[in-house]
Amino acid sequence: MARIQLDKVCVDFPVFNATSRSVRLGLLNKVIGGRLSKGKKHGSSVRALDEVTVSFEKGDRVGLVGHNGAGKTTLLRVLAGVYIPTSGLIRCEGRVAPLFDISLGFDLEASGYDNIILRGLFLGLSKAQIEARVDDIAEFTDLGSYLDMPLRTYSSGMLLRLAFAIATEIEPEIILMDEWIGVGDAQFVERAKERLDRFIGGSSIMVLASHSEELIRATCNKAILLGQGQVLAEGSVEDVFHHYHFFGTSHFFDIEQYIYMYPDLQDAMAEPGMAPWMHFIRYGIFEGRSPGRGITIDAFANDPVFQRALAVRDGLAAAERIEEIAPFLKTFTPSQDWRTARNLKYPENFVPAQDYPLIDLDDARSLYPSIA
Amino acid sequence: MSAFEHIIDNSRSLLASAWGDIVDGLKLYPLWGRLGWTDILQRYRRSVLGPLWLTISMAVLIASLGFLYAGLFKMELKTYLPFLSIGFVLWQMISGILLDGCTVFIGAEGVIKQINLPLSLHVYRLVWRNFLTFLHNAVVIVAVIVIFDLPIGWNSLFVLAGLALLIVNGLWVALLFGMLCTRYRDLNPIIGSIVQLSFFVTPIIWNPALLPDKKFILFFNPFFHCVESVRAPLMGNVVPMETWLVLVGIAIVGWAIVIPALGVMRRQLVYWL
Repeated sequence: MARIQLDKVCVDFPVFNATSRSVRLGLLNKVIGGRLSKGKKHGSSVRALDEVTVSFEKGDRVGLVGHNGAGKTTLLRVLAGVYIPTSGLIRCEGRVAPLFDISLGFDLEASGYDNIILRGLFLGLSKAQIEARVDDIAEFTDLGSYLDMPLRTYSSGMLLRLAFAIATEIEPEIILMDEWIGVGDAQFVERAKERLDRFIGGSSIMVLASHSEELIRATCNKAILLGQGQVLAEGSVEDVFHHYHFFGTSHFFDIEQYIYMYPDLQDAMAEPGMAPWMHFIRYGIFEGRSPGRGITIDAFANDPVFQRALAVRDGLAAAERIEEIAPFLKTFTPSQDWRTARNLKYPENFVPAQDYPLIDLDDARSLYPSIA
Repeated sequence: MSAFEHIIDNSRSLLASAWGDIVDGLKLYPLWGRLGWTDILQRYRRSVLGPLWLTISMAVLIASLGFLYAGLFKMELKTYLPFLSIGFVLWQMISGILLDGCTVFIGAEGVIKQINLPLSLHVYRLVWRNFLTFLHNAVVIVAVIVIFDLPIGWNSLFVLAGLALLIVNGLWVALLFGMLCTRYRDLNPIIGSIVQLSFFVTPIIWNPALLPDKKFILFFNPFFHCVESVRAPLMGNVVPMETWLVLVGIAIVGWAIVIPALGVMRRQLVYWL
C-alpha cells in the first residue's frame, strides 16, 4: 500500500568550505580557545526545504513545479530516503524506484543483460526475481542484440530506455523521477507514458519534477509549486500552473513598488483577472518597466537569451531570465525573505549592458557561499 | 515481494537505525558480492590474464624482496621467504581496507545520493573486494607453503580464526574511517601516512626475533597481532593467548564505538558528500 506523508519537513544543507571541513580549524580552535569561529561552530547552512507538509495517496501522479533551486530535487531525494530531514517527520511506505540519474549502478564495461541484473539488485530484487523479468525488460527496451554489447556503446537515449524499463518492470509502488524525459525520442516518450498509465492506474504514486509544463500537464493529476523550499501552492495541475503564472515565485518582483512607480498602470491593473505580476510578464517587461528590487530592463539590453524571449513575446521566459541573472546585478536589492538558491550558478552566458555590470565571480562567491 | 518493502520512518532511535543499517547491508550480499567482484574485474577488463595479474605481480614482488632481504638480514631463505610472503600478502589486505575505507563513502556518492541503501553496503563491498584480492594473492602463500614444505597440521586451522577477526575488525575500521574522512577531508592524507609508517614498524619484512629486549613494544602494535594471528599458525607456531585477547578486545571496543557513531552520523553523511 503506497502512502507518503510529510509533516513539517525541513532540510538544511551545511555549507562547508575548506576550513570548516578540516580538522585544522578544530585543532586551532582548541589551542586558541575557539576565537577563530565566533559562534559559527559548523559554518553556515542553506535551508533547502522549509516546513513542507504534504501527503500523497495511491493513484496520485504529482508534478513538482518551481524554478531552479526551489527544492524540487531535494524533495524527491527526501522521498527517496536519501536525505534525512533536519526536522519534521516523514513516513513513506511502499517500494520506491528512484529514477534520478539513469546511470545509477550501471557498469559501462558490462553487457546490457548484466546491467539489468545489477540495477535490479540495486532496486531490491533478488536475482531470481530479475531473471524472471529479463525478457519483459528486454522487450520494452527494444534494444535487441545490443543487450549483449557493453554499455559504453549505448547512446544516452538507449541508456534511458534500459533504466526506465528496469525501474518500471519491478512494479514499484512509488516512482520518483527528475527531468527524466529529456533524452528520450518522441516514440519512446509515448510508450513510456502508456506504461506509466498502466501501472500507476493500479496502486502506485508517481512524483515527477520537471520544468516542462507540457509534460506535467500530460502525465500528472496533481501538482505542487515550490519556491525557496516552501510549498507555495498545492492542488490540481490547472490551479497550480495558474498560481505559478499569476504570482510566479515573485522574489524578484516587488508588487508595491511596481504599482507605486507606474501610476499609469492603475486602470490596466484594475481589469478583472489582472494582477501586477501578470501585467509585468504580459506587458510591463516589453515596455521596459522595472520589476523593482533594483532590477532594470536596460541591464538586459545586450543579453541574447532575454532579447530572444522578448522577440517571441514570451514574457515568462524573459522573467525567468531576470530571476537567473538578478542576484548578480550590481544594483540588485533582494527582498528580506529572499534566500540564495542552493544550485545558484554564476551566469557565464550573460552579456551585460553598458553601465550595468555584473558583480565579478569572486564577489559572487563571497556573497553566495553555496555557489558552485 | 516483501523483499523490497521500503519504509522510511525517521522517528526510529539512533541505535536501532544503526543496527538496522548493518544488518540490512549484510542481507544485500548478492549486491555487494557482485559489486566487489565487478570492481576487481573492471581493473583488468580487456586484459588476457585478468585478475591473475594480481597473483603474478605479488609473486614477482615477494620473490625479489625475499632474495634481497634474506641476503641483507643474513637469514635463511627457507625461513625468511614464507615469513615475508604471508606477512606481505596480509598487509596488502590490511592496508587496502584502511586506505579504501577513507574514500568508501566519497567514492559511492553517486549511489548514496540516488537511492536509500544501507551505508554498510559500501563497506561490505570494500572488505569483500579486498578479501577477493587477498585470495588471489594467497595463491603465492600456498605456493610457498608447498615449495618450502611448511608444517601444516590441525593447528594451522587457527588461520581461519585469524582471518575472521581481521575481517570483523576491518569492517568497523572502514566504517569509522569512511564516515570521519567524509566529514574531515584532511584525515585521508593523515591516515595514509600512518598506514605507511605502520608497515615499517610492524614485523613484516623484519623478524621480531631481531628485537630481543624490546619485544614488549610490539604488544602495543595492533597490526602485529593482526599479522601474527594468521602468520603463526601457517609457520607451525602457536598464536599467543594475548594476541587473541587483544584482537577480540579491539573488535568489541571498536564495534561499541562504531554503532552509536553510525547512528549519529548516518543521517548527516549524505549532506557531507
